[in-house]
Amino acid sequence: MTPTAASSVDTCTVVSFASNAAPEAPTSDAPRILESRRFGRLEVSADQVLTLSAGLLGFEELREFCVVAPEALQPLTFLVSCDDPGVAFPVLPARMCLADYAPTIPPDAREAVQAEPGQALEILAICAVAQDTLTLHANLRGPVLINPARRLGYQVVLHDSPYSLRHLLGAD
Amino acid sequence: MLVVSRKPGERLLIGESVEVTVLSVRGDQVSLGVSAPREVPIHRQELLERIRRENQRAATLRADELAAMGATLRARQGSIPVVTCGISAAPSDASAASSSSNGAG
Repeated sequence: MTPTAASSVDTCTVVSFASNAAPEAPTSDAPRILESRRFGRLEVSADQVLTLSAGLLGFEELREFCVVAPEALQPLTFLVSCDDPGVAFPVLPARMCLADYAPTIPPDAREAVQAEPGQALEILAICAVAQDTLTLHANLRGPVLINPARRLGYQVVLHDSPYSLRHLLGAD
Repeated sequence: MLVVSRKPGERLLIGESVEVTVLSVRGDQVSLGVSAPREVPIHRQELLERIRRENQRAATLRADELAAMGATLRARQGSIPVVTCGISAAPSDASAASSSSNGAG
């Protein structure tokens, strides 16, 4: 067995939100420092914090996240909990998992991220690896809706939807 | 737990705004109609449970799984169109611009 170098995630960037909202009061707060075993030391400024006020299912107590993009795992990014940096969810833009992904987003989900009528939102799919086959799957049934302008997110539960909870991301 | 017996067509009110109607009973399957304000989410419990489990699986990624992830993604990158990764504010969607409102007020 040869050790795989890919498991060491050395270069990590905390993603900033290209906010097109009216500029908020300048944040003079010092960046929050997160120590993560996997991603190392992360400096997160206030405008890099994504708030999921309902949390993610099963992790309802974790509300604030930052988005970390390890260079070695591009295009994968991670939603890293600011409260517990040991908790990180790998995510991909849902359209990258399935090119014609177009779920019907319920109105309450758009309200949860304070979306303006007609505003385009980001949809992220949480990815996981099957423990036996080590294949990569994306959850297209419980996507995370993101309003980058307000830095708000919400995990949507899609009922009566054709999309899979474990959409296989094969190498083709 | 409150236990209520209902016949098809009968209703149950929860608070002032949620109404549950028994539509039909066939064998071991009960059809319910739920009317609630749209801010009240209605979920099938088992789907929530499955998403919760998927979240837990995703959050507890081991190093070898992370490596497998990287390998799969690198293999895919040649074959799929690469969409802008990460998060960037999407330009405002102008597709619904059938009527132009000229700022009155």
